[in-house]
Amino acid sequence: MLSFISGFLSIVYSETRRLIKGFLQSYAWFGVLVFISTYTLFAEKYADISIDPTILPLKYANNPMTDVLRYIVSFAATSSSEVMSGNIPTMVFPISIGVIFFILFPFMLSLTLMGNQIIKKASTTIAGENEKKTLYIMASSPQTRPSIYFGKFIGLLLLTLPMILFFYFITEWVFTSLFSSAYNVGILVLQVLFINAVLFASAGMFISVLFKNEKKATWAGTKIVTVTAMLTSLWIMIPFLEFVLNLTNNSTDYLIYLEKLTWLSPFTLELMAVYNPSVFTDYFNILTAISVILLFLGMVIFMKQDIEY
Amino acid sequence: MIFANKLNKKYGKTRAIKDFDLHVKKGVIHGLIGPEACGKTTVLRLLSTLVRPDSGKATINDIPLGKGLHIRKIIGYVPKTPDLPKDHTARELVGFAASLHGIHDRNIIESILKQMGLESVADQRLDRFSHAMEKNVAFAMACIHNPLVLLLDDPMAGLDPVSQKRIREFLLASNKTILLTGQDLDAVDGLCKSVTVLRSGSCIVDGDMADLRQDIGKGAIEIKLFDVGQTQKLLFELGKNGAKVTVSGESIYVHYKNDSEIPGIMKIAASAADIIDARPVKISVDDIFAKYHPAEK
Repeated sequence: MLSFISGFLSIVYSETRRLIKGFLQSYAWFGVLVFISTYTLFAEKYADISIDPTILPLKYANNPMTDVLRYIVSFAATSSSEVMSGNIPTMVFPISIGVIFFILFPFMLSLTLMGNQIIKKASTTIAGENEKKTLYIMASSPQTRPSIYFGKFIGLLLLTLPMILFFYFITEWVFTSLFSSAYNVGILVLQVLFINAVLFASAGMFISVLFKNEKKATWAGTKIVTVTAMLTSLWIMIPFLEFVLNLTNNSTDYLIYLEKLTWLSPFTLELMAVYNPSVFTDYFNILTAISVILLFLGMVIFMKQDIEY
Repeated sequence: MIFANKLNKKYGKTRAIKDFDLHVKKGVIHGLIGPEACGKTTVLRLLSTLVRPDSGKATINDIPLGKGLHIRKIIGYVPKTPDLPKDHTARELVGFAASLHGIHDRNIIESILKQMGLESVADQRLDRFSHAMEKNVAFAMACIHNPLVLLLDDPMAGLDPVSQKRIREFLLASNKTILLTGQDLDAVDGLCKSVTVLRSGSCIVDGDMADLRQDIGKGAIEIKLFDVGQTQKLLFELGKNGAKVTVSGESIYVHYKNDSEIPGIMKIAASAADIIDARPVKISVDDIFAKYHPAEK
């Protein structure tokens, strides 16, 4: 048993070592882009102001962009007289809007960058080794197929920890120095980033066992991230669409289907979980269940596969 | 030690092996011989649990293939062209193979590196290695846990003569049960005690090398003389002692029934004529096909 565990740990170590070179550049880009997008939040002023929800009645209200739209409309309405007199007021955002900016920009950016990087690397794990024909080394050793699969999964997950921790510290920094600590979503962000890493690692490894070719697997993985990010962007834009359709007296009924479609993207569920903590547990559980299913399916396929060399 | 009964494996529509039977005794070096794509590699893949049979049974040391974890503890496997990660050193790879088996004793790693002649290059990355050196690393990785059984896919392919000699000596001295593949009997001559000959995924014949040689009628020594004028004298002396002799061109073939007759034949031949070359006649796979499977030759 001890030798089995030691063998498993060496798979984890070997996988981490194998992938770390590719991750170093990603860490740098992740750090720079997330830092810049977070730092831009400091350019605005924030105050403890409440927003009147009745100013703009929108049907699809469970969306952070709805609040942004409401605030812009209310700002335009209340400051029009001053603008007309030539005295343009300084825009001060409510802290809740600042939090939404944080969720929509640095947080969304970190989710997509991380998801993209993880799925790209995960999809090369089995497919890459199959193509390079090096998988036989582990497969002919006294390790089981599930332990090889899980060892690679853990190795990959370990490499995402620096990104998760970096963003957690960024969150703590923003909420202590810019927003009030009362609004702090640091722990939620930490949990969501972790489940995001688990989900994309499971999905990537699932793709990896379906393809024998590293290039095709990577292509499929990145396409999935692109499509999911596009769906979430569409979700963010739904209040705008509703607003424009209302202005032009068009029906907004079909937006419900569009909104449901955007829920297929894990990023949408993740943003919703942080924006609205009351649904956090439900969405977290859904994402965990999907991750476990993908991990299990990938493992079963890998167990049934013949190893090529 | 290694036992297979009616093993079958298909890749898509292609039947790689059909009703394949095998029996290799403990401590014996057994050869799987046959042309390209006859199913030799598939047999090794099945026995090393890298692929699953469609039907049939097989055991190694009485452990069925289904218990892959236990099988992999007692086997060492070397593919024909091992593809090892090029960004690792030989020491790292052998160390990795050792850790997969739960071995952390550096002395064992150093010892196997030395045995395979890799100690001086152990810290070089594999992208600087020749094919032969890479294969030696694969051998070291397969033998790190001192396995009871070695499964070697064309072990001599691509090796330089020095490496071939080293591997040959290593295998002969190992006292392990070894199943190795080769395209012709030349490749395994002097190494294997018994062979199984495959064609199109099926076993054509199996048995001891000596019996096979006799059965095919190629239990003979080819002798070449310094002076062809001495041929008649040699034929006379050998005939007098009851040996069956045939002549073809400048070669004289002395047939025997048992290996023990060889020293006597050589003594008579050496006293009757000046010999410049004498070697056993090699059996080719074609000879075996001609004998046991003439329809497909």
